[in-house]
Amino acid sequence: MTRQLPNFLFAGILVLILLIAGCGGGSSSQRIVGSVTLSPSTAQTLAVSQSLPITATVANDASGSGVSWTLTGVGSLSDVTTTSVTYTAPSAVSSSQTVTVRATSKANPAASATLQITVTSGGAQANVLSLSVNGGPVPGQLYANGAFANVTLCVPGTSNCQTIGGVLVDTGSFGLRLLKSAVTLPLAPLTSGGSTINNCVQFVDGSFLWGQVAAADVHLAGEQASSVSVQLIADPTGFAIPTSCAAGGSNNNSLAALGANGILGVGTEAQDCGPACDSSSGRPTPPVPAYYNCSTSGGCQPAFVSLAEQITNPVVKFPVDNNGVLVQMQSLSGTATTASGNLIFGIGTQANNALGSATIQTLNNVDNFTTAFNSRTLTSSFVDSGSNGLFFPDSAIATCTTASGFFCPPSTLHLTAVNHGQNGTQTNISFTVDNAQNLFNSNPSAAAFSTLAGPMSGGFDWGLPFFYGRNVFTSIRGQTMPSGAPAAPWWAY
Amino acid sequence: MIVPLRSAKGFVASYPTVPRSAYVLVLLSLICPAFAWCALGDTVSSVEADRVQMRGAVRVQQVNGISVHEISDDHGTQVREFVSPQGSVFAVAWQGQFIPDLQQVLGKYFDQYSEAVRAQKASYVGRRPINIQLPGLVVQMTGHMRAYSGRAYLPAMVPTGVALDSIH
Repeated sequence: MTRQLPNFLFAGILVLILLIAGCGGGSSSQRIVGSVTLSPSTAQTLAVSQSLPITATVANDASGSGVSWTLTGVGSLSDVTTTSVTYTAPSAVSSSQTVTVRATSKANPAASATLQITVTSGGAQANVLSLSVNGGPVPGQLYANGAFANVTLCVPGTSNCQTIGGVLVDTGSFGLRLLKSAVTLPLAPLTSGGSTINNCVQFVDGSFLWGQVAAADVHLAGEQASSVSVQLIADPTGFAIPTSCAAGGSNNNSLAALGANGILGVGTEAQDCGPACDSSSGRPTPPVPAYYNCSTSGGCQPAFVSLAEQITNPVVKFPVDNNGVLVQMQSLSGTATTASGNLIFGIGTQANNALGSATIQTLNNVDNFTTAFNSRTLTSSFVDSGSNGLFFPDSAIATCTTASGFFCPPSTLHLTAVNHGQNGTQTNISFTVDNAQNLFNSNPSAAAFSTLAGPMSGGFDWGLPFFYGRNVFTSIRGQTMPSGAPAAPWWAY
Repeated sequence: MIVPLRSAKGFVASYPTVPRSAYVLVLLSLICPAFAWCALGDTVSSVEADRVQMRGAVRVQQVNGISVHEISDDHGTQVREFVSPQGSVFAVAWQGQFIPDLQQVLGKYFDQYSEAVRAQKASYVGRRPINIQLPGLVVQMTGHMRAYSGRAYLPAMVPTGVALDSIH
């Protein structure tokens, strides 16, 4: 022991000298190996059997020796390298447990970083968000065939959070939009120069949403997306809404008008606008309606916004289960007061979202596939949980006089169509159309309708009735697909 | 892409797209001195006003006396205006990442459209493609975010023999 003491002292002095040299800001070659950073950097929650990839970065690690990994608590580490590891939760825990994964610099064992992971016991799984077709959050108003969920929003990097219910789950749009009136958190708007960034989106029901873009952490079930651009609808009210946004449509700026507290867009794209709204598009002017820079002096002017700042599908920002979603609705024959289901995050990433025998149908460049119906080839067809019926062209079916926008055939129709993916796969779909006015009149307290349909020109819109009794996967462009599956986007069911 | 009205025959003319600025000046001074914000139900010159407004290129094809003018703007939105043998725009159709400026495309029918949208929105709750069927005006939209399409037509002005399915 006595012989080792001088060694420790010597080592300590060396470290001190090196530290002083590092603090002195000399050339980088003189710096000591610095701090370790982990991704994800904030505490995570996993359900039993779930896995989480973790990466480590060591500052000034000239030797490239990386880190060593240690785990304190239940579960296991696998796929260990000097820069990454995968943590897998145990298959069962009696109650929620918190484990710590530590990465320690090999070059400088004094530098390390930790990640806390909470493993939740059975019951609710981290990647499963409950869906309820329950008529929606507006008192005295029944929203037909709307799948609603709870969304938790936090001020970025804090535990200052708020859960908002009654958010419509929409696989036909991209990004989270919430009524500002439902958000109590102090979320800072994104700015550009002295202007705030505002967003406008139009929907094919003739409505539009207008409001500021703000960053928030978004928690969906146990999944967490950090610093996601979201739209705060109808905020602020001070600026005049550009005519290119309003365009004669209805402003869904209130709970009653929107029929929901917000829309959670978890469709096939990562951003609501994408390259067209990025200045690198090479386009001479920003497209409208999309993003606007607003200032008290200049009003609101169309603007380019980078992909990173655009309103983003929160799924792509999850550290895991980020390549798409599975909507799993209960079977429904006819009409019901309510219906339930799950929005499961990830495709082929966990035991509960495997593709199994589902048929994959790839899409064209604007995220449509082809439906053959009534001797017509409808090349602009799509699957969309946010449409509340099946909508398709058929001039032989009578439309309703009162229940505008729906079919009212004199008797029940049993029809078939064939969906064709770009990859040559085809599926035969049978569906039923009832008289919408009779459905509404006979079922005044019902929210779930499996036979609701209406007219539409141009394509086939496979709305929520298509989802009842099916597992419908929606993959996201640019994300990593399960082995053997084609590149996204595609739908599979 | 040009989709034929009924057959692939009859592609007639492609307007020059350069020099763009000179062309715009000529159009402004000669064809549409009033610079009408209109299309549906108006005369053929309104197609040129739309083209100028959208800073796009026009292609024209003719089938059985019907001419179809297609305008594409900087952002790839295509608007197709269907012109009767008498020179009236009896239908418009569009598709693209963004819905075009409907005030411009629907012209004097815009207010009627706008009122009908609000009335329809109020009747039954739920998000669905709009389908306005008034005695004198039909407006239908479809699609999802980043891929919209739609059409509007004046039922009384659709020439005999033109199938409604061909308006897209």
